Amino acid sequence: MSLTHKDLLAAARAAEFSSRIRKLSFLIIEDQEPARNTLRGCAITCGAFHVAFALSYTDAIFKIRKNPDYDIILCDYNLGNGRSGQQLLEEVRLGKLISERAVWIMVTSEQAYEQVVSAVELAPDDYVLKPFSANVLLSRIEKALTKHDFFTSYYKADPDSLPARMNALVELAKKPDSKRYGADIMRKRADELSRHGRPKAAIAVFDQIISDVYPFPWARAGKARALMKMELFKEAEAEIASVVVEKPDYFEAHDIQAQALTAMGDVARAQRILEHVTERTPRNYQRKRMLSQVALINGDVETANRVMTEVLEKDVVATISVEDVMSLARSKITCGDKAGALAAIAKIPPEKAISIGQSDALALTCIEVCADSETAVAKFKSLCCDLRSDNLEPSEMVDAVRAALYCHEDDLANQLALDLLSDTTRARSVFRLLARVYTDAGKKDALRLIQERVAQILISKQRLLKTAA
Amino acid sequence: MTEKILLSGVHDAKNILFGALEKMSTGANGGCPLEIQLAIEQASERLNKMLATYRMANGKLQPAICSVDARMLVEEAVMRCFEGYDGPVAAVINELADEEWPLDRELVQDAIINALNNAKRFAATKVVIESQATAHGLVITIADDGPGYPMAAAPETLTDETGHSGMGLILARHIAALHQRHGGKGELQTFTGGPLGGAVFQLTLP
Repeated sequence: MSLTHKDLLAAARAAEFSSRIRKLSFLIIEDQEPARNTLRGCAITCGAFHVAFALSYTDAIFKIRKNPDYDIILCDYNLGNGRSGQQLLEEVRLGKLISERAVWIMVTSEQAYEQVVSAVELAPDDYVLKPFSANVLLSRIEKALTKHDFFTSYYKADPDSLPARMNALVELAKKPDSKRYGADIMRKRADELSRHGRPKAAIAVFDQIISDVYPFPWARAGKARALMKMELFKEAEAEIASVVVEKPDYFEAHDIQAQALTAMGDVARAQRILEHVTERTPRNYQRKRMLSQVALINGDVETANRVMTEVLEKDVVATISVEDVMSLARSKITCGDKAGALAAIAKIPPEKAISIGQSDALALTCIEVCADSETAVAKFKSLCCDLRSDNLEPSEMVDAVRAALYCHEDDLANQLALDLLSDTTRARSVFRLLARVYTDAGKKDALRLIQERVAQILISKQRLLKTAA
Repeated sequence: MTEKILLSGVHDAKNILFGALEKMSTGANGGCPLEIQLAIEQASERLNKMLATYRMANGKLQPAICSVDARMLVEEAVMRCFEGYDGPVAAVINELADEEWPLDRELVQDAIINALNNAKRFAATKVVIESQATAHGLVITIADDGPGYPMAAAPETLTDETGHSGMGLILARHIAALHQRHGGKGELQTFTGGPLGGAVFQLTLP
């Protein structure tokens, strides 16, 4: 059946949709008052009745935390002070601060934003380029709501159950209007598989998107992340490197590349990449946390210290986490600032100190040992017997080695180092740090002997495998 | 050629804004807000196109490919082109492809709006728009019942309702070619004839 332009424009103002819009709650995030008033006017013309405002990035986080049930969020891309609406979206979605069903529309005057939205893994539901009419905004909101309606059964399925979510997607793919959402269905399948620890299956779906639909940068980034989970770091780096070249403003791609390089042991290059990107995104404190950790592993303690101190001082949005404090304390200990390490540890909020996990508690004890805390030394010595059975992260094992050497428990330190270095994948990312720990303790020779022992173990294992084959 | 297009784009945008200013100063109620809003949007579209032309000329026009609702792409283009229009030409939307398609929404929609503006200017009574998903790709066709493309010169320019030459078909052709997929490349065909006897603008995206 044919339509005319008058039918279209009339449909855009249809009462039926307007009555739905009237019931929805809007949040407008815009730091400039004139633009805020314009958006408000536009939203009201679209039929909005319940409209709230956030005047800045921080205010938006506060408002969303207070009321996570906003239905429609109209967010300006440029939020001032080096913060962007894209960064806010990622923080809100990754932190699960709002419902999956909330519609997020980015408002921008920058055509460059199209490059961002086409690349990123976490994209808004849509965007509008200024200037725009109320009809265009309404059209975009309607389209986003229609899509969310289509995926209702998926959103209702238990997010912690992979079978429930995948079954919902399978059923949706059978619906007649699924052709309009084919790429979204595939993307959600890949994301669910990745989230539920099925990286190989996720890669298969990402590959299908790349070959059958389009080699979207977000699909290649998703594949790279899944390859990382499979510890195929070289392949991950190769995949993401091509994305970085094609989309140099896709900053998260640089993060993935840095992670892959760190895992491969090329920490110096990882640090350079993160330094370059943090210069361009100075208010992205998550990225700065990553830079601090990588710098520490790379032996650049000054940078690690400086960056982490800045994060703790300036990131007023995030609450101080135990990981942040440990990161700063580690860098302080590594450069011999024992008082600084203890001062950093003292900043852990009391409510977090009470609920700290076992491995974090052990890692903190190890750091305190090296800061001359007598209580910590006694505690560490009592834990020595159980230490090897603990499931520690590589950086925590390095903490334990450092603490053991400090307490003159050389046998324990060497055994932990041997365990760590025998797992070559885990060892690669922290070897430099481990080497520094032994050097600072004046025991480089001991580490060399451990490396020789590890080489012998690996050769024996390979021989056994060959014989078995 | 690029300089000519850029200069004409500035001229167009300026004329549109001056026209809106005149309406504000001479209109009974200070000018109709919708008319002024539309004028600002049209001026902005001209400026965006100039930017695209400049980037094209410098080899820096890169597509931002997303999965786009093909139906909404065309419907929105019609809405943006005909909002506030009170002339004799009717836009008729036939069958539209109900598919998702990987394309650059802003660039492709601009090309469609440009073609619609041209058709609206030269059509006698009717502009017909349709889209189909075929083996060759997504085919978007705009046909009018006007005089068609002049034979004397290659139909390299589209003109808008002010009568000045714009960024035109050169840009639209370039935008089509930027879309590459499965070894194929987008293309633009323009000819006179078709179902209404007038100009036909046919954009195919792989």
